[in-house]
Amino acid sequence: MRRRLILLAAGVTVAAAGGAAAALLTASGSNGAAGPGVTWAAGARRAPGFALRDEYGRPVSIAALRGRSILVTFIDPLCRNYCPLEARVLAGAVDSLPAAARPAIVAVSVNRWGDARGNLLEDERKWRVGPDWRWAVGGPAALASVWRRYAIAVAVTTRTLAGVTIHEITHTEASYLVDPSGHERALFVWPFGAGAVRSAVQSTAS
Amino acid sequence: VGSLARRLATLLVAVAIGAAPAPGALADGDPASDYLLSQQVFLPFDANVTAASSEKLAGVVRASNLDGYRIRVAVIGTRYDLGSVTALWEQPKTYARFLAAEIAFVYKGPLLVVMPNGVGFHAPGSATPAGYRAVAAVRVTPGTPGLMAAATSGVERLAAAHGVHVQPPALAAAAKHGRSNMLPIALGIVGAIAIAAAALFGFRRFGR
Repeated sequence: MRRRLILLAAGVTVAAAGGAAAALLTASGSNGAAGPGVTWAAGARRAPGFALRDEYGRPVSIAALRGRSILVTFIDPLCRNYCPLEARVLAGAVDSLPAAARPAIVAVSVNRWGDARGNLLEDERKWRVGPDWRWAVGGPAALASVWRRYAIAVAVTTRTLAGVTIHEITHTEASYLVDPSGHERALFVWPFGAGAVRSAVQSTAS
Repeated sequence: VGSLARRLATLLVAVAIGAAPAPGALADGDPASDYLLSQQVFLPFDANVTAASSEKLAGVVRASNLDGYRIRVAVIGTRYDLGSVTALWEQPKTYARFLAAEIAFVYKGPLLVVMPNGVGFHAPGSATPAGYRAVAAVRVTPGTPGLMAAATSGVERLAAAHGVHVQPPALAAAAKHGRSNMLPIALGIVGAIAIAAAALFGFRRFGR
């Protein structure tokens, strides 16, 4: 029992510290000193391909976006803590670039129970992510394959409280920058700033 | 090198997640259950809650708690406010029970939930018929002002039913309309840090 409580306290501390950093970054409108956790040289690592569907049922894939930079991020449509903040930072970075240089944002869902079209569209509206944002959803196996190939950890906790079963998602909060040739160039682990994303996009666009 | 670095980076993230298995700590749950760990009131996102109504509700809740009737309040404006438990939209009574279970490890007192279609009340171990009668008398009128008025009225009635007569706080002269979305988040996070730090300190101290 004591061990569980200690882990709980540690978990809250980690969450709180991350959240505080994220809130401060977002609230201050910071350009973000927090840069990418990892970068790769041009042509060093091809981004894993996938074929999913967007919020309108249209195909969405890395291959179809060749020739344009892509920010591949992993978002829970029902998340109300870090995901909306990360979405706003990514959208802010994209908005700050000239129209011709703006990357696409592909948000791969990490919550198959939250993928209803209404949720996706409501998030876009509430999070003000703009027209460069597209969701990528699919069946459980297809999504799990994408998470695995991008090394995104997704843990599902299913609980029943007061007679209601819910699925709580814990996942790696991270985004990849894929250059126009389809190669990974940077991995941003939350929290990160819009300025760092913008700089990375600009430096890898050519 | 790139592959190794990526694996290392993602492993670190996975380890960080794995090291915190506590449900609700890092998981994407319902936001009210995060706020109410450290705050007395959860307000809906993007609902254009006026500073005046927010301050009035917060003041009534604060006064009630100070005067002897413990209460925490969740005002739910839309499905969006429920996060991963959208199944409980327009079910304020069930959500009150659910939310009470979510935060029971920190708070076990009375809990009031207000949704556009009604109110829910849960008071594990301390519910009284007078309390339920008080809540049953609360009506929610349409719109955000209706939600806020119902929440404020609900707290006043519940407190009164338990012999606590709270006085509405004087509104700050400088109250502005609208509010920052980030302020309550930051406050909630700071509160959570304080709780976690206190818990860790306590375990260390008593573990010796």
